[in-house]
Amino acid sequence: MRIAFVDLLFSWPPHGGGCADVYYTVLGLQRLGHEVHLFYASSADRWERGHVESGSLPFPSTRLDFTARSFTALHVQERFRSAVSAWTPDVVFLAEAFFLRPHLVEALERYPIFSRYYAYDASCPRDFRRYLNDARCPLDYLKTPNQCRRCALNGQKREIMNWQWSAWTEEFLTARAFLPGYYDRLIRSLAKSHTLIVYNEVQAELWRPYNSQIHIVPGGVDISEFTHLPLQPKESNARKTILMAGRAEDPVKGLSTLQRATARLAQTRSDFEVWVTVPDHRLNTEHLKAVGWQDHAHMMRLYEGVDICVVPSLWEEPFGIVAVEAMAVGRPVVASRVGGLQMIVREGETGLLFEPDDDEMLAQHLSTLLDDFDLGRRMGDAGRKRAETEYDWQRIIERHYPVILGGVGK
Amino acid sequence: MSDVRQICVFYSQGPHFERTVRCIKERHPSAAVTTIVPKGYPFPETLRSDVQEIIETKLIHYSIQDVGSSLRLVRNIRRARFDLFVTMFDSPQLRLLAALTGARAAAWVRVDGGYFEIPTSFLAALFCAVFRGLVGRATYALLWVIIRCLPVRAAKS
Repeated sequence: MRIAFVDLLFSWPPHGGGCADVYYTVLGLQRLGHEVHLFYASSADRWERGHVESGSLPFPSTRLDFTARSFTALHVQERFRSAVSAWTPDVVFLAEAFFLRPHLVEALERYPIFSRYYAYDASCPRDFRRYLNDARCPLDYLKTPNQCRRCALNGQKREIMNWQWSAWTEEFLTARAFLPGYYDRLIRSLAKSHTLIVYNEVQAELWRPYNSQIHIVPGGVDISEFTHLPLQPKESNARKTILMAGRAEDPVKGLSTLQRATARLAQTRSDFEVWVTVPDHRLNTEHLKAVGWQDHAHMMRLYEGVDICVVPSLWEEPFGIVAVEAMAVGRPVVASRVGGLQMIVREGETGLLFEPDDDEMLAQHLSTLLDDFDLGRRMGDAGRKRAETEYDWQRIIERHYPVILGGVGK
Repeated sequence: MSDVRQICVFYSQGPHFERTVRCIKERHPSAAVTTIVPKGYPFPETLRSDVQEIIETKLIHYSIQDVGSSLRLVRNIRRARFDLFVTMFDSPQLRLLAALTGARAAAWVRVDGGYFEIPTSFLAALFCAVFRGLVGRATYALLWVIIRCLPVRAAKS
């Protein structure tokens, strides 16, 4: 099968989880024997769009160049329509795009379209998170469009007023997402897509009323990049370490919960230290240490040196790649029961779950693992096994995509 | 500019910091490069030999609203008397900063490695920032009216 991948935000090396997802999906399908081709937008004026290191892609690709001026909805549609049509694919895989996704669906509607969603874009035009005022937002743009449009404009107020914006706001303006017609376009695009591919059941439930053909495909890691280092007992006087990785400075990631849990733990014990990958050293306490942002290589070493990993996210984390990375190294994971995380962590088997924002339960779970080395080791080993069997990219592709692509023409 | 001896590269969040430093080093191989990065920034090991000094600011996210820190930053940059001030983006705020640093010249390096000079006139930078601010506010007001006056009818799923 000839599969054209279309992406408005692809870069390699990646600047986010979406790019890695696209890269490994294209690569995996190529390895399964499909003919693949990636068409991606590039703009010298935008760091988020199409900056690919020369010779870094092991599959064929075409870069479509835009400038800030030429990046209009019509032009994007025309360029992708003509480039993709010239390659004559059997199906189109629509990867990363924000507000222009419906326009791309329209431009390529003569092909079966597999539309991959990486967050809650279709339900939250503010910032794709459905998280507002320190709480998960119950609204859904598809059901409450007027409230969500107002919220979206409010969320982008500063960027628009300063006349300087991110790719998200660029597409909001380019796609005229503030006009009523955009809403109908979005609904039509959901319905017109052959299949919607999502990360978790929350996304699936939101969009199933508009397209019943939904597949949940998790994200993953290249397991060969991660060495399994079984948990080792610490010397009796050494502190055990707990790691919160990822963009911990982002309020939705739940650092505040971990801080409160750390304070609770510190009341009863002193044999632990919490490391957080934020650069703000003002957060440091006797038991909490900000270790700064880490690049990929340092991150690996950090995982290997810790005893427990925590993912205390407050929003409905679409997937939760840091949990998989920790599991791949062989560390037990304590995560909040949200979005994709509750799917990744098998409660009692590869880690422990707690309700988001419940610092008391988090402290209890951490205490359990600090006290019981064997339990932590068993969970870490089980986590590695689960990462190998469930979250290795090639296995994900082999397990899901023959079924998904097999539905074409039915 | 063959007499460029002291260069300051000012970090902003973006994927091309390394490329920016390299581009500057290629253009001015004998100049001393100082970088200003946010505290905790994992400085690429591969760049250390190209850089004479790394200054970590207390600002984690540069924000013009953090007036005190911004002024301290500008004062420190002015003291160093750089010949060239380099940014990773072109924006009214960065143009203002470039004008305030007192550097003899300023430039920005695009994500693809393109090199562009920035005028160092403070008045021009101020005019540009004000003009864009006005256009932005007018646009926001228009969108506000559109969203309130043209409601959407929710679809039946």
